[in-house]
Amino acid sequence: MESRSLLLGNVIVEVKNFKDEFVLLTSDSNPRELRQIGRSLFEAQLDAIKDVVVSEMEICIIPELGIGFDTLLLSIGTIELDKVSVTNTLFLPVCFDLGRDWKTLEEQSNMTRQSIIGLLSQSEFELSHLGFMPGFLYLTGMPESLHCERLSTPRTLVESGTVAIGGKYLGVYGLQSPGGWHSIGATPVKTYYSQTLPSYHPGSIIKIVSISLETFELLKAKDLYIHEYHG
Amino acid sequence: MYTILVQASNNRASYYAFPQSGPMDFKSYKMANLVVGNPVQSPALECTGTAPTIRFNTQATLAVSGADMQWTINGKTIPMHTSIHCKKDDILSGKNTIYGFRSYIAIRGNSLESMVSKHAVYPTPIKPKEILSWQDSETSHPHVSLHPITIKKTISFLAGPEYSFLDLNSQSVFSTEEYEITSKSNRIGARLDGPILRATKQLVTSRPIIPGIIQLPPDGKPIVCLQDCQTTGGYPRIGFITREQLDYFNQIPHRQKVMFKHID
Repeated sequence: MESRSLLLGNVIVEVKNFKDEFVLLTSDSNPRELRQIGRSLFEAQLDAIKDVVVSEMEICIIPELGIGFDTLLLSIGTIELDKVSVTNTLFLPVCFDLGRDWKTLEEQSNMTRQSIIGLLSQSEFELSHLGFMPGFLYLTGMPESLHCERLSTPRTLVESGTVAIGGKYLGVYGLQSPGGWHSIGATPVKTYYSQTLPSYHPGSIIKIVSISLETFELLKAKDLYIHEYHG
Repeated sequence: MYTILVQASNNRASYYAFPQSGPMDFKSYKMANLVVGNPVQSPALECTGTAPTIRFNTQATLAVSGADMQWTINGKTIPMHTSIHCKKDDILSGKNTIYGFRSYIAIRGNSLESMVSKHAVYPTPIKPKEILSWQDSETSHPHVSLHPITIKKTISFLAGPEYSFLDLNSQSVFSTEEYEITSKSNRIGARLDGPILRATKQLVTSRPIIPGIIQLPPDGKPIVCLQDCQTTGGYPRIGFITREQLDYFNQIPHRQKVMFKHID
């Protein structure tokens, strides 16, 4: 495995090459800066790069077949970090009456449902990464008092739109799937984009808006994507 | 029977957590398309384990590659890796695979599609009676190829980012013992059964994964991530199989044994 250090903008990035099959980028600096680099790499649509995956602490680049490490490094060096537009903010309406695991969560956190909702609505979340399924959002920024263990037995079916807590993350299920997180509510807006590029990216800011069951039904009928809802 | 429509894509959708997807044996998929004169990355059918039976409602030019499923047209054996013309009402069929695990059927023309699975995130199996459509193209120039697949019993792997998490004994066990590709495997991952491997550490946050990565869950039984795998995972990535070797790996039938050879 070859390893090199690279200066991108003002961030020192460690680049490790795994036989030209994939390349991993890590950095000791703020993970937000790594997300920004990930976004630049994706948006630059470089010929040398087949695919980019951005996880919380690491970026994975899949080079096109036959692209050597040196060519890839040169190509990565051309990205212009300041060209990336500012991080966007999106609003996520959540109806907390539709949560299924309030009882367990109240017990684990030693807080009432009302104070938990209060805390969540005041918090600013960041989309830390994507990955479980398309449309599933991993949000960080949740107060530590709400971090909790996952369900001991995962559910075989979680409805799309479910908002749930797992470990330190608040998660949004864009598609129906199995899942082992504590359900605390549901959003009427869509986070799974099948035809267009999603409006979010790792690094987006997400704010929660608590809504009533009535508003939930009204918004649901409008069939909106998350970016079409403005709080 | 498990037959799906596959297409290799260049859409860079992993950034948004879409699985890479596409054919499990890229080489065979590409060959079927080339033989009928299609662009390399045209849609084709991927048949796993057993051949489907397909009736043609119109004439077609097709080629079959990959696993040998004893292919026939109207009951008569047909050669593989060769462009074949069939008439309206001809029936393409076969049996269980006798060599390899996945066959590819390419049909000359460009937009082979199934309305049923068009918008699915994961490839959905073609259902009995489902109708597929395509646009024939007369202008293509077929290639001739006579290279059948080779089945390997030993697959090379390289050390993954968390290879050092394995204890020394497990490092040597994984490259000297046999592992079975269990029947719980699918296009998302190959679940291996064999001597238990031990990791001395676990990952704190989830990391990117791609097809070919070998993950080690806490139960000590490795999983090879395959074409439909998710884009991040939380288990140590102890090794990886190159794209070239993955084509061979994906032609080994379930319930068969495989050896992994550590290369640098």
